[in-house]
Amino acid sequence: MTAVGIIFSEIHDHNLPEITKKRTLGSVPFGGRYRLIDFVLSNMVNSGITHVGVVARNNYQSLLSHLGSGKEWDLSRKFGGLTVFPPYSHSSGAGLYTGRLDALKGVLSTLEKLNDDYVVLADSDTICNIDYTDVFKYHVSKDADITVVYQRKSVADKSLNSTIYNIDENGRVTSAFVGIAPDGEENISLGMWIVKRTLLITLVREAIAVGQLSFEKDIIAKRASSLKIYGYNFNGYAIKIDSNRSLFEANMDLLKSEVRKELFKKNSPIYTKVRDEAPTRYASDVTVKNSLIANGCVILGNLENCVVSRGVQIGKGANIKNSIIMHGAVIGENAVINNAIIDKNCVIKDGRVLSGHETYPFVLAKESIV
Amino acid sequence: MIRKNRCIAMLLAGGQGSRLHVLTKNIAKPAVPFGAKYRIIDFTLSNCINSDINVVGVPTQYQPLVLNRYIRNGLPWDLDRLYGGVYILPPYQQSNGTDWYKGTANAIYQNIRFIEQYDPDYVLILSGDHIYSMDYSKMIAYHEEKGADATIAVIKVPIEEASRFGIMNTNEEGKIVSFEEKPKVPKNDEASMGIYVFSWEKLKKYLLEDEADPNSSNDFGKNIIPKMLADGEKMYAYPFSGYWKDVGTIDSLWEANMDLLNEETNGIINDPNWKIYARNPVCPPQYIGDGASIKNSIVSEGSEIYGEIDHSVIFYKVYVDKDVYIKDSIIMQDAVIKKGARIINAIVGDHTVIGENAVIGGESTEEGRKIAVIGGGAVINDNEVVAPGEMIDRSDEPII
Repeated sequence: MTAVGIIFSEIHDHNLPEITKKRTLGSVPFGGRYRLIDFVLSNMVNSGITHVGVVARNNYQSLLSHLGSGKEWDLSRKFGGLTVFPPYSHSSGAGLYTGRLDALKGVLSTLEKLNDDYVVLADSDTICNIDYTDVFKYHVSKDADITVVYQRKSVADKSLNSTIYNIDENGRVTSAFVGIAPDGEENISLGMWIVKRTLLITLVREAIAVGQLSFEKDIIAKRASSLKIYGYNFNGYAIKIDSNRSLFEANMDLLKSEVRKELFKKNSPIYTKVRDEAPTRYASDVTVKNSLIANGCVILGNLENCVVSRGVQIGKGANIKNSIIMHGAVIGENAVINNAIIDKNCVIKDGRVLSGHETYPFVLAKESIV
Repeated sequence: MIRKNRCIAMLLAGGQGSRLHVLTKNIAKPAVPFGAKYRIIDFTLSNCINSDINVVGVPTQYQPLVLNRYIRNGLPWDLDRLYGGVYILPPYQQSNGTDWYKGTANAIYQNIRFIEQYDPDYVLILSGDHIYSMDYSKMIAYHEEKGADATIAVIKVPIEEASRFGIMNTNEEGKIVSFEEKPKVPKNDEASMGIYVFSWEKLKKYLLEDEADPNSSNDFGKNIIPKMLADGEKMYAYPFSGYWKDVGTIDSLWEANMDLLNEETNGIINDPNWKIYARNPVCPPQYIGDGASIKNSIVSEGSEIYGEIDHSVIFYKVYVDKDVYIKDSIIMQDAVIKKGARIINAIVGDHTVIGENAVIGGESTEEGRKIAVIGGGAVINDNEVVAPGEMIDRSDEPII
């Protein structure tokens, strides 16, 4: 039994306007040294899936430079390995996709040529450490056509397009709804699906033939009664990054030791691109509390509840609280920053004061100078 | 012949480094961890690639497992090449006999065929036990410009320390007129750095002669260099100025690590135009806990710090529990320091466990600073006391 992975690098960029202005969602920096796509890629590799296609849409230069040959995820292989599918790459006429189904249309000819039994489809915006072999076992034990991965929890932000599954006592998905958010706990899609390769090809063909575009609305929701669709409840830590607020929250979650233990497991590590940074240097008169800090930083100021990426410089006397500082940012002397997301290579000059609120973080776009 | 290379490097990593005692018990000296994320050999390998030298042979014979596993295909140093790259060169059996590398010159002699594949004009001989950043291409250009047969890099050392080094006496053009190994009364302060550029044809001739001499100890410093000088070959000293540190002893290894805490000398690992590459562990960023205090230190990824750290070098994946006090020390990768331990003036090896309330080393006294050393893999019990300068050796296996 073998499987190939297909990753959608970009599904709802418009919810993070500043952060995704110059990059696709999959390459959004996260957790001091990662990009969102590192989690799904590492999960696949750690589950033994070593042939992975990443469907790019637009704005994907930073994604390509992050992925390179796939070596850092052990995906530079003679057989399989990493393949990126840019738009307009095939005579099928697939251009900029509008949904997952549309994206699959562009890779259909590749899927047809493979001889893997299964396809694991995944969005790149879920942060979790999941073993897909467990999902496979469940899929096989239920003799399912499609297995969807979900988590039972309450919808964090009601304005967003979560997919909600109704699941009976046997685990079968009886119906699915996209974009409504009732109160209370729900079975929320984590954006991962396992499906037999041949079935997927048939489903995509049939859907395209009648002009359907959405995998969840047109296949999962409409065919819940005719196909055997089962739900796999993932119990571990999982968070979908679909807004500035969730990006902020997910980073702050990393300051909890139980979350770090669940995400960064010894036997299923999260891989990312190596940047050859020196160890981080702390000066003699600094106070650093409850912070996650990558290598290559020079810390001359004070940090509390922060996630600091590689190569960041914190100036003397600066006070930074509850903030995310992405790589290469330079924070001047005596600057004060609260509840902010400071994107890559931003420069905050001496003495500047920036502040947001924890429910609405101040977001400074890449390479801004304040 | 694969492709002509103007200059290739041979990095001598053969030595045991016995003056590092327990730190080199199970691994070769060049593989000794350094500077929170590196190993000693990273500096020479990075110098090679930064100097555009992309064939590096590494003759090695002492405890090669860790070094081999570390270097592997050379990818972290961009030495994973279609033509050339980095090669570990162990001694091997031949139809006419089997030999270990008998000396530094013999290690090159036994690899003449490796070198000849690349048909080099020059061969750069390096040793894997110094911490420095150096552009070898400038030295090679100097060698070429002087029309030299051999060029030896020299650095000014304090005259009172000069008797610990090989001292080059040169004329006003930089030509070496005599060479004294560890002279009692040094004539000048220009010490050999153990970095040589040879014109390959010349070196090959001397290697062959040296091998035929049964009385030779087959060593560059003792045999090849004095012989070439005696024969009147054109040998020049190439003056180098900058940070350079031999890390062959416990004290010098400790000092070189501490130099990285100084803003100025920290530059050696923080120069964007001269990066030092290393094989990177896969781990999340470092986490500094609520009650932690970190001052004047460098810390690497994957570490979790809940205690107090002052003027120390903390490697990757180190766990420092609450109420721990670490000062003037080096804690190598994957060490676990349990609650209440005090570590002062110490080198704590990789994968060690320091028990609760254990005391390792102590403050300097009027007799000076004595560095306590805990060998890799050792377990120090709760409440155990390791005296200043003491050396603990409790593991016989290299830990990977």
